[in-house]
Amino acid sequence: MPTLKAWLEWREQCAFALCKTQTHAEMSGFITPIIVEQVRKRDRNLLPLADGGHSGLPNQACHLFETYMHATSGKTGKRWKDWLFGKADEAGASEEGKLAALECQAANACMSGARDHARQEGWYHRNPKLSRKKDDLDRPATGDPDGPTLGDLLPDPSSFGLDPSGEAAANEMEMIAVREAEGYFATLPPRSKVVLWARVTEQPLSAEEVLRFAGCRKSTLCKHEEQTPLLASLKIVASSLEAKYGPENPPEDVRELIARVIHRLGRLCLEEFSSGKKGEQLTLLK
Amino acid sequence: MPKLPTLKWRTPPAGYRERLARWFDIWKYELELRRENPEYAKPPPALPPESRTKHMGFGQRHPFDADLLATGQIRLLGPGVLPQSRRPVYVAVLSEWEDGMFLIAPFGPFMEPATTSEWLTGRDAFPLRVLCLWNAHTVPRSSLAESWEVDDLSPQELADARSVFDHVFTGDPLSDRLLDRVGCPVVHPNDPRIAYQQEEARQMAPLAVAAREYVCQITQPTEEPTTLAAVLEDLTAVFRSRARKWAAASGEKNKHKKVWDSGQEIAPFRCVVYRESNGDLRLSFSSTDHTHENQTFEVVVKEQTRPTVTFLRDSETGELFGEVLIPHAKLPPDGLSRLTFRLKKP
Repeated sequence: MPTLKAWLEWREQCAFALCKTQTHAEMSGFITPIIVEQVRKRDRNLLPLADGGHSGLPNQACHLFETYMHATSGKTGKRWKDWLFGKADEAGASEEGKLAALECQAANACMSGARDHARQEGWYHRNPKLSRKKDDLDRPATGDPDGPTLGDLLPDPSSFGLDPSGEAAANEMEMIAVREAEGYFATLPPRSKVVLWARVTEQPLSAEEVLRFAGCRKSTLCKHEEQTPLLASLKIVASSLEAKYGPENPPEDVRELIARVIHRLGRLCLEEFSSGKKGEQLTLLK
Repeated sequence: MPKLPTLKWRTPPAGYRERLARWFDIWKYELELRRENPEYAKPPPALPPESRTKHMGFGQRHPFDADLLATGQIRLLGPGVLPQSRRPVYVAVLSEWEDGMFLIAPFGPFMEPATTSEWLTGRDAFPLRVLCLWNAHTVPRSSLAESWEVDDLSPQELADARSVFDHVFTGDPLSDRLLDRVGCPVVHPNDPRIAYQQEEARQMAPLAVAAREYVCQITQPTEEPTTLAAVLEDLTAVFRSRARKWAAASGEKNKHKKVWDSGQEIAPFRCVVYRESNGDLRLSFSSTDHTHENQTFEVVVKEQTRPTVTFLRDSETGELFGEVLIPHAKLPPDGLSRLTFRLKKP
């Protein structure tokens, strides 16, 4: 491990390369094994960095660490060293404790640096095009076999939103959504409206105001939600819109309409319970 | 069968699939690192402030330079600002609000943008490659007291960062150029990027707490207003606290005006303004003057919109209140930063 003297000399210098031979040896003896181990684990083909026999390896490892941490060649690129030593200062009561914290922080930074180096120079860099083969999209996104696959997480092209130049069509779609939502709103069971309002305003069903509007106890409201779930009501709205508009229109446009109608239903509930009728129970529920 | 208007969808940016795959690749590496190195995964240890002995044997650190704080700077937060942070956190100062508040956004830990709310800056330096606009915070100057200026954003970088910020908080569409430099939208409820965002948000929590305390401190009403002047002053105070949110949402410096119909005495009204996720504006009025019960007022927005608000009594609190919703489509096209409205007896 580097001595405190070596750490302090490195702190004062702009780079490892400018340190005295002894300091350079101590520091690179600390940094190189961490970086080489991590890079090798991620990608064995990353040469020459991961080639243990390469004479320039310590220099490369130290350079990688400093490059990773360095923010700018502009005004004060070395402030991260102040951060590193400051963090260690706050971590230990004794010099030994501080030194241990410094080594830990620096080792963590080396590992993150190796991670990004492997990412930048590794397999994907040499093979920039993601294969469109099914097996690529079917692999778990993070290695967790039970987690979603990359294919699950890939957005549909329509997820990037509407083209701003198509504003007129979007406005027309909104008008249709408003009209449809008003129709469905009238058919929603009153307590489902209260549940939707609670969801929109992020209140639990046990909230005092929610129960006041519902005109019942929590158990009754929950029972209603079990028997006539809001989700089921919204699914009926969605399937009804799908049946009405699906055959003649692109699926992404129909999905957009459904999203707008459901959003609008939430707005109507908000208006119902948050404006003129606030403080009153629903007449229907009395 | 009814025909819907033909919507014009944006063309996804080239290489968006690869960008997403690269982000997950680096996140996978990160998770492996945490699994294999328990020390790496832990938040850094920190002694309680009273037990710390500063600079013991570690030489002198450069003094903080928050007196030079200005919009457009890139600053490194001092080691004590975010105790849970395992990396040096750099922030971009995007705007200066009134009352010594600044809008800042942190640079992210990875070299790929995770979502459409993270922007690839185009810089080579690893710590400054991705700016996380979703994690932007309005903070008091005191929160940045322990920080160092390390660089400046160029005017173009600053404008781009604000555009992405506007996109995140107001839904303004991104230009094609910027869409090419952000990540992919999250569309799956179990997307691991949500866990990543929660981690990053937790790390910034001390700044959010400091901002809340500061806002409470400066907006605390001192006394119950009794005269028109006092009412307006009180009203202004309430507005200002919310106005910052509008300003934050619009990415512009706060230039709000509060214009009230001054031809008559309007006794103690308060107004809280909420911006809904779809851009609609909800104005929630309350009054402590009981003569206003069941009275109706017009809300005049830019002399165009005239919805009415009626003050009803809450049976529990006895407070008079009324709300009005101004649909996004009826808001002035020049943005919320120049919104004015009046409450007027018809």
